[in-house]
Amino acid sequence: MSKERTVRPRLLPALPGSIFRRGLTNAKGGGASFPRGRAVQKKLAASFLLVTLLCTAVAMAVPRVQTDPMWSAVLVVCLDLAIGLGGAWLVSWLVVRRIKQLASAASLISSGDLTLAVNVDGTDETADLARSFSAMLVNLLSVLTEVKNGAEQIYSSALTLSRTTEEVNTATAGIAEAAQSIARGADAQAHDVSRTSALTRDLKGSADRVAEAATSVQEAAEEASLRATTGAAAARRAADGIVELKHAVDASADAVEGFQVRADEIGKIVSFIVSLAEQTHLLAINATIEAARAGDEARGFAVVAEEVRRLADHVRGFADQIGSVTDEIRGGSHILARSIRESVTAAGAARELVERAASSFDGVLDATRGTTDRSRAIARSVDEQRLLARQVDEALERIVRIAQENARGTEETSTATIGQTASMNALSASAHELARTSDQMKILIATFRLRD
Amino acid sequence: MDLLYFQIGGAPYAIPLEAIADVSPAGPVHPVPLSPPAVLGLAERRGRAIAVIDLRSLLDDPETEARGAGNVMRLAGPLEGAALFVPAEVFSGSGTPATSGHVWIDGRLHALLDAEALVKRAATFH
Repeated sequence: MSKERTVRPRLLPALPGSIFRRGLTNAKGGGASFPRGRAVQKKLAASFLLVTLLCTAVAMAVPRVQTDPMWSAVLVVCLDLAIGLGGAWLVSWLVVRRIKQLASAASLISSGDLTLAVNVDGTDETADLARSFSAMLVNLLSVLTEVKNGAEQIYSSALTLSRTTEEVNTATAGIAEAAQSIARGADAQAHDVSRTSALTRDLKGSADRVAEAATSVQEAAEEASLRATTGAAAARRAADGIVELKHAVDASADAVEGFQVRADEIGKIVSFIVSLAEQTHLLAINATIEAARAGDEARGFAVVAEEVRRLADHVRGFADQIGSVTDEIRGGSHILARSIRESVTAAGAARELVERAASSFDGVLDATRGTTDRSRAIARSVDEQRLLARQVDEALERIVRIAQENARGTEETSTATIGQTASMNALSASAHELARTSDQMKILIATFRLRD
Repeated sequence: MDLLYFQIGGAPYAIPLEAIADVSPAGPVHPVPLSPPAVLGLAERRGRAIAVIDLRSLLDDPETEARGAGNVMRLAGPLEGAALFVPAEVFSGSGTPATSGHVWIDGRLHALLDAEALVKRAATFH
């Protein structure tokens, strides 16, 4: 006998009553249809009559065979006793045989085997008992089969419910995470928007400062325009002064050139004087030589010649001094002439520069006029910018409010999701419990051997 | 004694006045081929050709440049066909004899030149 069959069936704590009731009703209905018999009583009466007849026949027949009365009586008693015992055994065999079969079947059923078939032939009370037993077995089998199917369905449904609640939990966790992410995003959005709002206020402040700067630029441009006008007039006066200066310098250059010509003439004259002095010097030396050759009579001539030589040397010395002074004058006049030429060139360049400065002042004037116009345009743009910044600030405040509402809604969603998750966890636990219970039910039902 | 004195290369020299016929500015000098190196060439004086001797070569100072055009001293007496070229001004004065071959002129010692010895040296100078 297998192990499954030895397991005692336990009472299930919460089996659905509807299955039981239906099964009992069927069993009751099935049992009401069987006929009731009285064959055992008839068999007992017939056996009793037969034993009585046999004992009577033995009591009459034995004294004829056995003459000894004592042996005859002993023989009759023994034969009657045997007949009585045989009849009693026969009757009890006939009654007990089917009850034993039913007890054996009940023993098998108690061990869980519901597949056996009970012999229901006959018409006596034991046959009625066997039929009732068989009907009970059929009903029990039907109930247990339905219970088994129901438990399987419950198990499958509990598993499905458990899986579904897990999926719902997963989805809910995703929703909670998304809600938290949305809440964080809303926080970050509120933070960003408040920062943008601060930046917008800064922008407004800087627009105010730009407006002030534009105003001061305008004032500075007007002052620059005034100064450029004055500067242009001064530059034109300076150009005229430079022209006059150039004319004066040109006149000086002419004078210096004439002076140089005169100095050159002086140099030539000095060279001529030097040449004359040298010739006189040589003439005096030769006169001295001649006087020496003439002897003592020419001594006076020699003295005169010596005086002439000394005079010539003095002339030569003075001429050399004049020449060096003249050279210095010529050198100085050369430097002067060069300086004057450079001054003339510089005066021309200065005049050009001053004229350029005057035209630059005109350009500055135009530019300051442009600057004034542009600074006015800047002031207008800054006013518009201030207006826009205020509008942006208001829009940002609205955005902040919407973001805060979003954050609140997301928090509510998150809270609801947490509650839903708790409910789903409870549902999942119940589903697990149901699956475990139905599984136990299946195990219990598996202890019964049912027909496939 | 009467002398003519001059400077060549910074060194003062003097020559006796009687050795000189006359002094004149140096004119054109025409070089003579195969003549001694101390002879500059031939020059013309008063219709006569004279040999011009370069004192710079003889006084071992050939590098001295002539100051101005320089002067030519024509020698007197038997050496009247020769002249001495002096690359400087020539002065006349009187001097007192000092040690052998030198004279004092205006408190300064001058080397006294011998015209005859100069001409001979010029003829044999290489």
